[in-house]
Amino acid sequence: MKKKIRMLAVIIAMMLLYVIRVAYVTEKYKPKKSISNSGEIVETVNASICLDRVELYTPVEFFEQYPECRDLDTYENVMLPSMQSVYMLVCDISARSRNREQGIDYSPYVINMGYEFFAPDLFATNSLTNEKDVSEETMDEGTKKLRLVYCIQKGYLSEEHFRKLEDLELTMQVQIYPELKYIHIGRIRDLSGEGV
Amino acid sequence: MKLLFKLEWKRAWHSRYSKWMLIIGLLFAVVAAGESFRTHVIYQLQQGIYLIQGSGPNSITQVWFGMDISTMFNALYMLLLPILAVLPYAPLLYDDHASGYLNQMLIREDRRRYFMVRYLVNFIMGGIGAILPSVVNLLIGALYAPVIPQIPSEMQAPISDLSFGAALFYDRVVIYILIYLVLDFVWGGLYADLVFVFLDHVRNKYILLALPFVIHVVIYYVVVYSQTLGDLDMISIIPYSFLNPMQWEVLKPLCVGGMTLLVFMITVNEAVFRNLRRDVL
Repeated sequence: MKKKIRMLAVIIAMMLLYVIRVAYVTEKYKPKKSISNSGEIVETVNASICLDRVELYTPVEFFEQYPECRDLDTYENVMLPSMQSVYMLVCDISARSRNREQGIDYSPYVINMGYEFFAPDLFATNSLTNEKDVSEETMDEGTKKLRLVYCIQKGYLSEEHFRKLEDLELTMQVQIYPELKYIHIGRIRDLSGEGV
Repeated sequence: MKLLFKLEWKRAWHSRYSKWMLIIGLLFAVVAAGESFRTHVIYQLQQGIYLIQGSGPNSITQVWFGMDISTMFNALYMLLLPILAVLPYAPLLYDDHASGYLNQMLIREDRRRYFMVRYLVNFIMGGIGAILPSVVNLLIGALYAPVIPQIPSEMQAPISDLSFGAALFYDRVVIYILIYLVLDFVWGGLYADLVFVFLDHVRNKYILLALPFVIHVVIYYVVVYSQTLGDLDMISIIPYSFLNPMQWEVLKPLCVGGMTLLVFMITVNEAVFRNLRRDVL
């Protein structure tokens, strides 16, 4: 009987140690997350970033608005053949480098789409981006205005999400591990029946 | 039935076959964990890229062989799953048949109950044999990799919005892993019970144990390399494809449910109902 109790105590002690170790490792390496609203300045490791404007276009509307983009090979080869299954998300951001001598060396690179109830950070788009400087003049030294164009392709999203893009919460990730920072874009315009 | 179950359960655990299951399962798990640790931690430390700014830690899903794309153990496990499943109890079924122990038990016990207990014990032992390496590997991995979902923007996982349970994977990763462990447990049990289909027809123990593995591999190669079946999108119904948490082929719950039900009905019929009417076994 004593032997059994001793064995049980040893097993319980080992399980406790295991749980403590797993909890310690998980807490230590868990990334911190913060979400800011668009229009606010977000301080990242090496830049201050502000999301100025977000617009969603069908390809026809996009090329009417930005005819200069017709010259880009990527859009000619990828977008035109699949115009019925694509949306273009255009984001204007201002980014100011912390190190003014070096200039901007970091910019947001991916839009994340999230569901309201489950996965706020689910990556659902491809990260096909094309940076296009919209202004040659900078407001002050080290500041740059960027226009990011994201292509939301049907093949990368489930049918349900592609048809109901307006129900998805969008966030833009501007800083990576260990402190993840996001800018909340919110819901985009109603797309039902358009371009699909 | 409870006493009968206890008896068969004790026999299962005290046999040498279950000891082989423990040894092989634990060995597989430990070797896979060692290789994963070497790849994800030691190599990165040597290169000076472990946990640098911007490089997230390897989450549990990256070091667990169920979802680790950097080692061969995921493919090996998916291939050997039927063998791991038949190891613990199926050989005992053959021994009972060959030695006459089965006839002795049928004189003493109700036929239906005895066959059902055999089916159940074989199913559970097969499931345990199948998921033992997976669970142990997961527990070892949790000692050095945090139990957190992967960061989507790092694009280290083959799970996208089109995959089954993508929201779970990136938010509640433990539930995602549990779903696949349960699926592997069920199919481990079904593979073990496939032995009942051939028990009366095969006179060699090792061929009998190898048959579920052969079926597993043949179905995979026939479907994957057949133009017609590929066009019909049959890859979703093969266990090699839908048991893998990496979802090289997106899991379709209806296909999986249908296949599971079909194999369950075949094995139950062969294990229980077909033998009820027979005089000689």
